[in-house]
Amino acid sequence: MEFGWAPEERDYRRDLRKFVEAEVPKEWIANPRQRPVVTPDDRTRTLSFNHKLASRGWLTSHWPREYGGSEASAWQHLITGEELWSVGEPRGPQYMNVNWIGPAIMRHGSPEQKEYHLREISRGSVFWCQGFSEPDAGSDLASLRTAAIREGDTYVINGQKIWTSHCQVADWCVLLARTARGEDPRAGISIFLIPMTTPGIEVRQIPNYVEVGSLHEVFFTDVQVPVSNRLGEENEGWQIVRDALKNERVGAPRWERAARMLDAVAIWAQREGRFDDPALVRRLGEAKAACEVARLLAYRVIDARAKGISTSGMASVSRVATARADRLVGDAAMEAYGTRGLIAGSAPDAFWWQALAAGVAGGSYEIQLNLISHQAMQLPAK
Amino acid sequence: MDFDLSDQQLATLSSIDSIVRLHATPDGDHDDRDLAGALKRAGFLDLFREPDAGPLDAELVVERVSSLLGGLAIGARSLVGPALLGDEVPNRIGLARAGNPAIVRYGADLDVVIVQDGETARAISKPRMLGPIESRYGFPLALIELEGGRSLGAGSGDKLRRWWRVANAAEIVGLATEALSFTAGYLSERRQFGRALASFQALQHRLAEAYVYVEGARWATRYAAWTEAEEQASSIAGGYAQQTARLVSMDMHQLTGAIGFTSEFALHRWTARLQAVRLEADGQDQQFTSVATARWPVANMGG
Repeated sequence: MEFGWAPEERDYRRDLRKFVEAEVPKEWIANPRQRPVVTPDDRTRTLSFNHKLASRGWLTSHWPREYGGSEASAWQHLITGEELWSVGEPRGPQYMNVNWIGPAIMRHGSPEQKEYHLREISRGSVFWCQGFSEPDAGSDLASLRTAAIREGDTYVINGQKIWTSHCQVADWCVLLARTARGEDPRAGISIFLIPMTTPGIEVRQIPNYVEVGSLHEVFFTDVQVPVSNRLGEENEGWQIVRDALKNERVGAPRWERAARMLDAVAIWAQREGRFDDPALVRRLGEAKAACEVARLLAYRVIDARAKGISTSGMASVSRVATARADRLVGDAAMEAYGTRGLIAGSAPDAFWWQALAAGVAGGSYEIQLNLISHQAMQLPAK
Repeated sequence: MDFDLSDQQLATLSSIDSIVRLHATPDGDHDDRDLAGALKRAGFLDLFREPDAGPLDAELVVERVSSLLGGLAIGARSLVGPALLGDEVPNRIGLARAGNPAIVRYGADLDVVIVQDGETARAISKPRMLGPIESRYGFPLALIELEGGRSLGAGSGDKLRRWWRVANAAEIVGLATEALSFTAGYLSERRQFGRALASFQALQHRLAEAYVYVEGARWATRYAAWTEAEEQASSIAGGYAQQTARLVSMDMHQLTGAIGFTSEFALHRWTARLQAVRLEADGQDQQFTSVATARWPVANMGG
């Protein structure tokens, strides 16, 4: 058992921080809220950042060499996530491409899909969005109804996705659609890789409190997709996504961003004389403890993953601890700022709304508790 | 980073299980000298200063012996004593905060009590017992005299505070692990409404949340031991473990219902001890305040 960083990991973090200081706006570093890519300018800036990151070999460093990576350790990839997520994620939605869409294509893609998509992803030249949730298929994702009907060499897709992020600027969508109906709803799902410029796709922004431009509906009306755009075998999409998302189960490194937000809030509170309030000081300490506990539980998953050990249940433990840390920090930040936290754009304002999403996005808090019950504790089903 | 136990650590824990099975008396609610002697002879009480081991290994011993309800103040013996007293560490060590007299675990017949006295710590050999304390919190308690003793030197008060946090956190982790495991086992067997109680989602979620707390406390405490009880890491471990102790002891009794209050049902053996351990040193609020003052010292107040 060893909790220290290897020298090369410390060096990488130092180099990456220098890069971030040079390439990321200071305001992003000072106020580390999530910043969705909304406008064409956002897109241009994000692509430029990704190209610079890719040119250093840091965008897909953990990928195999044959696909543009350098086979760096899972820890280096974690450091990349911590350092970039904590300054507003200047990669935009690249984490999705890099973390699981790319690896899923490596494993299940056709030679043509590998050739095109892995090259584009590893260069940082492409934006993806993820068409999973539907109005009647949220936590119960397998009940999705968006249908892909095969007609010769084409699928015709009709349906609706919701809560989709980044799709207003995305080049491609990785879509889950139903290709068969049977007793087990998971058995009839396939994955499609679809250009967002395909006729019949309509994107509508959903006004929301978390972040402007972060949530959308996507409508598919008689969208024609060549069979060659299907990823993997027909009706095997559920298994492919489940395997691919195992790499993603600890989720975004929210613990690091929460810890940095807490630092900023605490230092602000000291300067405002708020450290005279013992209840607030205690609360900040409790939130800090929650961040560091969440970090250790996430690192435990990374360690197991790096060794090829099953992380069953462990990742959900990490997710629950991380959601809790995010909420405690959001709450402590609001308490520290008081009514000044209600000012639009204040540090606690953005963070508080995003902390609420920590227990919802990417598998709800309650779903994680279910997984812990079944996978980690082996509690009975009946 | 490496979160796996080494082969040596696994072997140590396995040997401790065997020693406890062989030597511990069935009711651990007393000073179990046979067990302490057997652990000492095997070298498991002195890993803190062993060149091939260290504080993290000693912490693992504390977790395990606590979970098995060993009848000795294992945290004080394996972590605090070696940190404060050097190479010659007696088996029966008590810990107390200044104030006289004090209620101390295993206080009836201590070799030494280490006293938190502001900036320094004092060691009092063979402290005088004023009388046993009637209590039902799993440990024998006694009121002891804290006058005199030798100073353990500059900085010893701080060192005691930091290691005491880690020691108690490690004991809490061991106790809470078993309290949770025992409860989950019982609820998996006990059937109501035609199904196992542990199959109800309302109960599963309570157990799963407790599981997250216990795992969080476990890794925070191991990390704190690895840092040799740095101020921030030790107060995080201490505060988080105390939260865990509160949640686990109250929730496990809530989930088991009336049977959980009975003497014959073993749950109280861990939950009662959790109360004694969590109340012994600085409270949860003080621990979290220490986290904050370690992370954001007053020096930041300029500008």
